[in-house]
Amino acid sequence: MKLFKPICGWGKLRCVFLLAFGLASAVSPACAAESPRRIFLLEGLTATEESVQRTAQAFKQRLNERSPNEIDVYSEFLDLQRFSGPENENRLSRFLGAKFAQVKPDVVVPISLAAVDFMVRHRGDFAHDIPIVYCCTPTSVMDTLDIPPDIPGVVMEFDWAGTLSLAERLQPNAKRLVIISGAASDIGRRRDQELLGALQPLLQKYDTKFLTALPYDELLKQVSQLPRDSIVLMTRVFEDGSGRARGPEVAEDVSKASAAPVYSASPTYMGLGVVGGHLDSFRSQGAKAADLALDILSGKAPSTLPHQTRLPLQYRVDARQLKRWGFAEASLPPGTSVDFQQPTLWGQYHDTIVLVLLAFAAMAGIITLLLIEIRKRQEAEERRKAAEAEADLRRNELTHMMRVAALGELSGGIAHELSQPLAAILANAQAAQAMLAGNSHGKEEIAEILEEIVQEDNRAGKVIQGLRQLLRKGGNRSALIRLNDLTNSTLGLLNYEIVTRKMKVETELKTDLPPIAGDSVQLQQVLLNLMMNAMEAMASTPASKRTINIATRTTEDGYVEVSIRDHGPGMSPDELNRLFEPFFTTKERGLGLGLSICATIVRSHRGRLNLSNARGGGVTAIVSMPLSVQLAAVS
Amino acid sequence: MAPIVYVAIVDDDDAVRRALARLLRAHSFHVRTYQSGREFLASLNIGVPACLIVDLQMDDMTGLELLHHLAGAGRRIPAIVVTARDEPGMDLYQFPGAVALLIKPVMRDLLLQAIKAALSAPDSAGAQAVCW
Repeated sequence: MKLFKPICGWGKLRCVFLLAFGLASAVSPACAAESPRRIFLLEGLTATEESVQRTAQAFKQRLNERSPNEIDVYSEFLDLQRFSGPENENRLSRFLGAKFAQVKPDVVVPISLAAVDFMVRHRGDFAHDIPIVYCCTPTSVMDTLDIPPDIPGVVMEFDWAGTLSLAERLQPNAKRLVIISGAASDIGRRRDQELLGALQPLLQKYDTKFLTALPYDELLKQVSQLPRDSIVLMTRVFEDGSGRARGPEVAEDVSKASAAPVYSASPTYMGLGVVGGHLDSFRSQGAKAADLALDILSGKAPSTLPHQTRLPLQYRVDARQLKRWGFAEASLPPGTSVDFQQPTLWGQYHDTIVLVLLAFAAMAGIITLLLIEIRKRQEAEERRKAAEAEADLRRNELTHMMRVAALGELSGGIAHELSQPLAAILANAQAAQAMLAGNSHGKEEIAEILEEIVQEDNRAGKVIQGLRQLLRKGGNRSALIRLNDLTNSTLGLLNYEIVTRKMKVETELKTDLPPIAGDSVQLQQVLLNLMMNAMEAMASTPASKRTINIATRTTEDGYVEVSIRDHGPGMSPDELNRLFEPFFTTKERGLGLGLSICATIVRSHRGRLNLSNARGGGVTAIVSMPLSVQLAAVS
Repeated sequence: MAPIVYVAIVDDDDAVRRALARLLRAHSFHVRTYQSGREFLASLNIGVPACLIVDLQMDDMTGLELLHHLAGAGRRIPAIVVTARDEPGMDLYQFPGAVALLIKPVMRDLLLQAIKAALSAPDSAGAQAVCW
């Protein structure tokens, strides 16, 4: 709805603008020179009657449409239906005379039978020299009114025959005709005569019943008991049987109570519950009267204007009543105006509905796009995760293969490590056998042997444990690791290599290092790799200088690190730059994957791996592992 | 007094050394043990074993180096080489003075047989003195 606001705002602005413009022109000297013409509307009924309002509205509208000059319109409501009698009329005459003395009208327009009647009879009292134009006056009373020829006007036709023919088209099988009228005053009686006069030839067709001047409750009771196939014709009821004045709401009450459709030739009742009729219209009456008044204002003599203007009638029905009684529009006379169409939601809020639908469509579109986008992202995320999982798997496979390969290189040493305790066990056991056979040795010696066998078995078990550890597949099993222990156990695996290659290892392990979190298998692989690299780097170094320096320490920026330094030839800048490239190798045999895998492992632990030339020759490799906050707290 | 006929064991692995000594002693041999080649070489001033059991893989001086050293010094001591490492291409004849090459863990019968062969070798100091 907000969408409309600026438009309304603009509309208002424009109205104010025009108004201001109009005011400015109204006070301009050119316009002020000629005083505005005045038309006085004399309404016979009260201001609350809708018919009165419609007539006056149409009158003013026509004036505005046709007159270039400002015309002042005055209104007076005589309410002659409720206030009647000569005394009242005289009072009104004096009252109007006083008014006209103050502001003299250029034309007086009496509206409705009562007002015209009054005006004709009292013209001489207060408006003998003022032109008169009448309207809304029934044709049937024209002869009794005796309107002078210098008063032109518009007559209103109440076509009861036409209205009955409409009823007959809608209810072709109706047998019963009911005629409702009020009829206490003179005017009422005249109306009845008019009605009956028009219907006389048609009445013998029906079983006709008159409901005339009944008390109100009785009237409503009677109509409620009518058979459905009756045709009810309702004249204008100004007074009920008890003499009480009644407004147009009578039609509403009767129509609501009635068990049969109600019709009326009076346009007053249109829209108040009656089905319809063959009708004149108050709007046409008002507009036509305005035409005549304008003719007079433009200088034409009233007597030259048509004395009794008749307007074309139209079949008009109330759509709501057609629906109520189940009448088909197809059975209406051609050219019938179907009024009070219940505006469909579509008809009433066409623009709003279109906009709301568009907004919905736009939102639905946006939502759909968003959903598609989200789905795409999810799929991308899933693909990324799958790819990562795949990469993880491959990396694990690769690191495992590298460990297996390393094991292959170490196999001689491992066999040696395993054979030593086995040799000791076997020799001990066979010695014990010999002792038992010889029966020459004491229990203590046997016990000593058995004790040694147990020890050696443990020793062999540890070797196998280390092997199993190294060969374990999969990874990322995070555990607390003590870097010193890991360093020592890795040196243990390399023991044979160190001995046979005549290496010396100097360790400087700081005690009380806080533990780090990580996968011990993978980190041991890193240390193993770096240590083997250090040994290989010193293959051509004189035996006396073949020392590996291994040190552990904590750093100030929250890392625990282990450094492995060899005393080999060191590396060229180019080699240092390319160290971590996969398949870069300085060895004759070697895949060149060792360091790149080490770097990957360390990175996945959020650690750092640095290799640099050491002062005094050789290479120093430093693995720095982050000390997590949690662990720092624990330690 | 005739010198004592004894078997020397050179192995840097304490447990293996002790166990081998125990085994031989249980079979009535005199045994002396040394944890490095240098310690053994130093002992030659005092006596010469009738048979030398030497481990191949040793820190500082390997078994092979010891044998070469002995050969170079003109010492002919029948030797039994033991190794934990069974490598293809390893050959008895590459070890000077060796009468047997045994793979750890060494089976008793094989060892005793080898000692017997060593003691009966012409170079052995105990060739004539074997008396069991």
